[in-house]
Amino acid sequence: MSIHPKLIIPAVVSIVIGACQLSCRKMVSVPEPVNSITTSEVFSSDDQASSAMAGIYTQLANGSGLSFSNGYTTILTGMSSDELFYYGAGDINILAFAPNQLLYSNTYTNTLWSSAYQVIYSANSVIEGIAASTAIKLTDSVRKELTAEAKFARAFAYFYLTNLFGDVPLALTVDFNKTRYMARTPSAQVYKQIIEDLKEAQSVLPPDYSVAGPPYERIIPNRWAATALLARVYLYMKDYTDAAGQASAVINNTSLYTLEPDPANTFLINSREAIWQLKQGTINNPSWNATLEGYALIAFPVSTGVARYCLTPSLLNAFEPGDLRRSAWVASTNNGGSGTTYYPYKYKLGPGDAAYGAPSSEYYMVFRLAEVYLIRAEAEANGATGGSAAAIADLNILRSRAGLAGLSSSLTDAQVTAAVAHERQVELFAEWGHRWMDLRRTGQAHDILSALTEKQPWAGDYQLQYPIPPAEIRTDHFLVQNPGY
Amino acid sequence: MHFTKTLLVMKLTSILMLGVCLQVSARVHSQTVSFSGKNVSLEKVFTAVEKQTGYVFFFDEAILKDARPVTIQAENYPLQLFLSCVLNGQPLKFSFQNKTIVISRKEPVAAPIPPAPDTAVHPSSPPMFYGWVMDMSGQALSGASVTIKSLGKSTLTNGQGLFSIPRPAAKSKLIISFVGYTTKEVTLTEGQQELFIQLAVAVNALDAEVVQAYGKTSQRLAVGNIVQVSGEEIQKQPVMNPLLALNGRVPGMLVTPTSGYISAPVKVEIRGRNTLDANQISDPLYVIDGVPLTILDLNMSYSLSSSYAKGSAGFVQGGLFSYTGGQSPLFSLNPADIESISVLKDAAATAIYGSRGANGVILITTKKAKPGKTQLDIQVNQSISNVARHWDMLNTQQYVQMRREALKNDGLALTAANAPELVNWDTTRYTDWQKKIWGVAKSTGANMSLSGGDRNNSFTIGVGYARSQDITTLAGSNQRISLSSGLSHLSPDQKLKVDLRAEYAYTYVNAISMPGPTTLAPNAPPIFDTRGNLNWPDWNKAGLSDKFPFATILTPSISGNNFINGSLQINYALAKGLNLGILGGYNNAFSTSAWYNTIASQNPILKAMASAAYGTTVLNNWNVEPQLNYAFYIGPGQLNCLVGGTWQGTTTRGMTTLAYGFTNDALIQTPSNALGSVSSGNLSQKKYASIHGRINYNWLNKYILELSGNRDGSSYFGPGRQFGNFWSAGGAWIASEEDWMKRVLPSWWSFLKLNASYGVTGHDGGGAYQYLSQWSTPAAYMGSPPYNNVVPLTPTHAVNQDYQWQENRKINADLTLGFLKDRINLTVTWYRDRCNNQLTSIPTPVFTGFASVTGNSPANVQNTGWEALVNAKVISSASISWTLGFNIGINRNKLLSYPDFQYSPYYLTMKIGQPLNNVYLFHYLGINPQNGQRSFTDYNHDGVVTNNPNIPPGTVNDDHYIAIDVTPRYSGGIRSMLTYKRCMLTMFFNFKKQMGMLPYTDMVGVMSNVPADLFKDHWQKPGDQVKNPRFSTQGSNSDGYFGQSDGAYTDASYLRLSTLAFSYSIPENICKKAHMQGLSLSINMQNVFTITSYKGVDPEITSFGTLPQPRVIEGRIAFNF
Repeated sequence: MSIHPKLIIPAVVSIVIGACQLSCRKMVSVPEPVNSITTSEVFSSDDQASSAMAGIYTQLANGSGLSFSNGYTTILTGMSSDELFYYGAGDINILAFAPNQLLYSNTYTNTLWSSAYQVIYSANSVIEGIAASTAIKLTDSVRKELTAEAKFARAFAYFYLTNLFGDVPLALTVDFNKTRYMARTPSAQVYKQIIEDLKEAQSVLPPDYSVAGPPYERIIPNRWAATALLARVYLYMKDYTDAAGQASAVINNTSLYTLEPDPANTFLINSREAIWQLKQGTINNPSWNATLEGYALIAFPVSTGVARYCLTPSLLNAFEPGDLRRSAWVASTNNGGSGTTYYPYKYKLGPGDAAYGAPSSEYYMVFRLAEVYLIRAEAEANGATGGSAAAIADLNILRSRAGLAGLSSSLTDAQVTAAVAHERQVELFAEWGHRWMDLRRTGQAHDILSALTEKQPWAGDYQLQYPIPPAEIRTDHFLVQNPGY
Repeated sequence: MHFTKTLLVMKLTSILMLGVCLQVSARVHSQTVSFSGKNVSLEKVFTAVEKQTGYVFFFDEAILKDARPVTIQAENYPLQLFLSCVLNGQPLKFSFQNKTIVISRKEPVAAPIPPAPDTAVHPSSPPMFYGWVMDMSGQALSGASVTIKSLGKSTLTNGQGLFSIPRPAAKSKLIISFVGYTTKEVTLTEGQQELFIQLAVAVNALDAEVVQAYGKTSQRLAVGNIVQVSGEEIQKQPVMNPLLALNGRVPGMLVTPTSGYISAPVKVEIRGRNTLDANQISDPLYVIDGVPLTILDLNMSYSLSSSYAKGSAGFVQGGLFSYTGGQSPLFSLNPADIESISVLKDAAATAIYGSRGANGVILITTKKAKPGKTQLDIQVNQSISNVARHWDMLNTQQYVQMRREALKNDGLALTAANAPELVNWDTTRYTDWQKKIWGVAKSTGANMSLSGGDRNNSFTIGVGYARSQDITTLAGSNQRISLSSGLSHLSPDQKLKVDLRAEYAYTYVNAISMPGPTTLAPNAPPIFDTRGNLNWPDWNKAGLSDKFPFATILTPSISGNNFINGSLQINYALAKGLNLGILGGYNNAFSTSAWYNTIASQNPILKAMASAAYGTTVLNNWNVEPQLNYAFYIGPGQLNCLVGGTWQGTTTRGMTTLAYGFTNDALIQTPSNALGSVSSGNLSQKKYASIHGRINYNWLNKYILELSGNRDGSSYFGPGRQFGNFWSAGGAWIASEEDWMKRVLPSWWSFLKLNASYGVTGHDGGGAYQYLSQWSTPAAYMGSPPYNNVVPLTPTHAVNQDYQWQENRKINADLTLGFLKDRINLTVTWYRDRCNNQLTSIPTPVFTGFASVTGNSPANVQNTGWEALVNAKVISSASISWTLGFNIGINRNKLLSYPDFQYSPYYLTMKIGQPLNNVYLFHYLGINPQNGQRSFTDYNHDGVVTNNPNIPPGTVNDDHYIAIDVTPRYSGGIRSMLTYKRCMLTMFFNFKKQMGMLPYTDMVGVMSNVPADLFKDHWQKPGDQVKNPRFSTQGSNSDGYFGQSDGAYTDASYLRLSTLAFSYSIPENICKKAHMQGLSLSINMQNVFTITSYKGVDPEITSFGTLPQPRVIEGRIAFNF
């Protein structure tokens, strides 16, 4: 074979030109991954973007096991406060909660921290993804709705973070270069952000459950969920006027919300009391159709199996005789014959009843009307319009539902405040860490907890804040550990 | 034939005519002639030529009367050579006139030379001298250099091996050399005008051909550090994976089998650990016949993952489980197909691979087609393998005594709860579990190859089959069937060269796991019951069903893999010294794996169902590499320029399916019979493109300068960061070529060379798409179910678009010495590699979204070391020869710097200035005579020995203050090859100086057998001054701490006779009778014996009870026809 020399130069030239045509950048570009889609694809249409928001809800409801939003806040703070104790021999990390002997390396507080920040990251992704998207298939109304939902989710996660850990880094972007080295943001500033997010959510989110579609389950946060959280935030900030105002807005919406007459129905799917519930998956979820919290708390079998997280005598004693909540929301077990213990029984589906793929009768309750009444009562007791009288009236609504006599209208201010605290203790026990956060924000934690025999010797008030996970401090040296750890 | 009375009067000399013809031959003559005959008349020869070429002869019959008959044997000779040979010594000459060959009488005296007819080539040529350089088989050597010694002027041969130079003065010396061939020096005779010369393939270590990146070199001329291991050396070892045959052969390269399974991944590390990232593998870039074998590690959830310690899972990326830990990709390569393996270590050798060369490069060259008589080689082998050493464990009597004493020490009565094996099982029964579980495995193999062809078209075909059992002889085997082929074409004008190579292999691995035979109680009941089922009942009866160790015998992991590797290389000689080439390559691996958790393996009382995991892995690599080479002389120096490009695409796809709920073991092979199944999959892709260049300037083989550069791009990086530049500069000074040095050096000192290089290579690890923000639906199992019937999407990983190439800066200096006419060669190397701006997964606070992000870490890791390589021909005579080789590599590794180290994720496990592979330990003090427990130094004198994992070791209250580097201090090998007449004895020793963990560091006294020496000299009563602790069933901290103390580490250095091969070739006359060309018999042994003070079975695999490397004894017969 021979190539004519005259052909060589044109050949080489055409190869070179051909190579230049195929630009170098194209030569090293690869098709997009097959098992994932990019941010721009996610926010290219209403459906895809809704999937991203569904990712946040499923993270909240199921996660990959217990997390801050599906049980651990209840369980861990329940032990840190005076509600629960751990029954049996567990690993030292879990045993450290009830006696308030947490080490800074505790793995469970680490889970609380990580799971909350995962939700925040996902929420930031949605907020930024929508803002950056120019897709016309992503309609304006969906953009607004999803942004508001994401901001609500972000506010929700930050609320727990700052109440459990104190000052926390306020990450509002997914840009890792901006968040990689952050100092802890003062709690007041975190609250400011929470209020800002909630106000936007409140103004955008619909006043009903239309977003969830038929049968309009209360599983997507709406305007009233944002309002309820806002009321709680104002209460925590001691802004009683606003707290009462926001609470009234929810309470006055009687067409949507009324107390369930029977406490046993409170936590069911169709509860009229529910403002926002998280719907657990029924397949590919370790607890099947049960809530993760119910699955963790309830003994199997219910009255003879071992219950790990048991109610403390002090909580059991706090119930007044005849309180229907005591009978409806508490169960007992003989732990296989080794002694009777009591455990929270607000959710009824546990390991014994959970079924794979079956529809569930209960969802995980996040906000409910009873708490809103209590917020308003506390606000009124502290000077919001209506004063003590209105507070007593609100408390009596709950007491009457619990089958208890109403409080006298002649209580002193201090007595009203104590009554609110008591009512919160028994109404909201083993629910979202209310007790722990109430003790902390009202300054009673030291007095009440350090006096308990099971917490002797008292490790110190530093235990009232959970430790920042050490891996976080190692990777971000601007973080400072909470004092004492 | 045409006859004419007219003689064309030609004034040209025949030689000049030849020269002219050669110059234009590309256009005019592209013919070759094959002709053999004894005393044939010229006319007959001419007739044959006319038939073969289509040329016609033109001559006067009369002049043929003066011609003698000729005897010639020519195969594919170019026409002009053929004619020169035929007319050699005849009074005749020839010339070409278009398609006519004119034969004329030689003029008695050469006439003055007129201008050549083709004036375009040489306008006003002085008298020219013509030559042709070929190898011993007559193949033209293109690019050989020809130097006129007195003038220092040189030229190169063209594509046909021809050269022309102005006719040198008489008695001039010509030096003809070519890489890989022995240089020849020729003194021209008076009036000599032409030269045909054949060069012999160099056999000495300095001049033998060495495969380098995109070319060839020799140790004499190499600027970079390259070590080549020949195929012959590899084939002497009875191993199925050619990588294992490199163990100890290349200084500075550690080859570590990850387990004794034959197909298991092999971890390869060249010159120390570069990266801090425990997930990044240390494997170099493998290139087979120019085709890179890149595997993108998928690290899928529910699949095997790759890591620094375990190496890459290789061909098993999908699938849940594999006892072998994956499959080494090179297990699919038949060692019999390998021509050579080159290991490129320094920047000069690897920089041309740019971002892929950071961990070194291994070039594997398969056997290529060899022209000649068709030859059939057949080789059959049979081998047995077993465990080379056994542990000395307690017998039943000692075991029972140990258990009783332990309970007594604990103040416990012997009960069915605390000693079930003593209560429920026969305490007189004894089984040597090691012998039961590790048996004698058999292996069979056969290889056949056929090669032949002529100079223009040649071929080779190889077929191989190997079947090897693992020493878990109850079940399991490794099989490979392989096919390799090579086709070469050389156009008659020798300008076009085409080379096609392909290898195909199918491997099938069926592995089972056997329990660690060492810890089993010696009185445990048999593996199978009387009906041949697993002996669950005896274990159930003892309440030990949860400890039943033999279930895995019936839960095999199986993988079948198809691998194909093909490359096509086309080269065209555009002009003298100028070559255009293109290489296209492709490889593909398709692997299916399965793991069956059978019903038969499970406890019959549970009425269990079977489950299975299936995996597939598909790997594709393709590459296209155009290249232009130009070699020419500038002054006395030869300049070799190479400009080329690489475009490579890689995809790896993995899929895993878990299926559960089979009701019958027979249905287990397909998920359709299962009650349910879940799947997950992943695909990783990569594209790589580069433009590279290399300039090599060789000044009279005295000074060599080499520069190489590479601009490359990889899809692993985000937009704007895909491209990077890498380069190296190196030089060599062959001092022994200096005249003054020749005077200084004693006569026995024949060679002295210094070469050094510096350069930057890179690494683009980190995985695909890390710069891209990705969302996916979380894995189905335990993942996130739909919310409100909307399928969720969540971000999958942290996004960092700013990460860049990792930079590996390498300095290398070699000193090569040759003594006694290069019979002894010594190379000493010093190197320093620094890996900075490391591309790793950087731990981040979770409020960034994830616990880590791919990025550049500021860590700077340094590896420095020394290497030495000696080759000596101790005896070299006709009947006996003995060569010795020795190599050693010493590497020191340290974390050089790390800004803000106290905030780094490595703060608790590493220290600046210390090796990355350091472990930090307690100091073991021996047995406390009071309580018989092990005791340790309380380093900080706070009264307790504390293990605090939250602070750096040896600080504050932590007492791990002893540091031990677990990488070998040095390693190497010794090779000896003795040939006496027809016998050949090859020995290869390898050695390592290293620290290793004691085989058994756990408690003594629990339900676990222990090495016998723990029984001797153990503590029995207070005051005993002994070596071994008390027996106890209840652990204390001190028992747990022993494994974290220097007491658990011991010298695990060894010297191992890893290969012993003896072969004998049957005398030819006997072979002839059997119609064979050759027949040889050989016995090859692997892992023959080990000299070590280490107490375990195998100092290379120190974990207790895992499968050790077997000893293999192989008999082999090789025939050729």
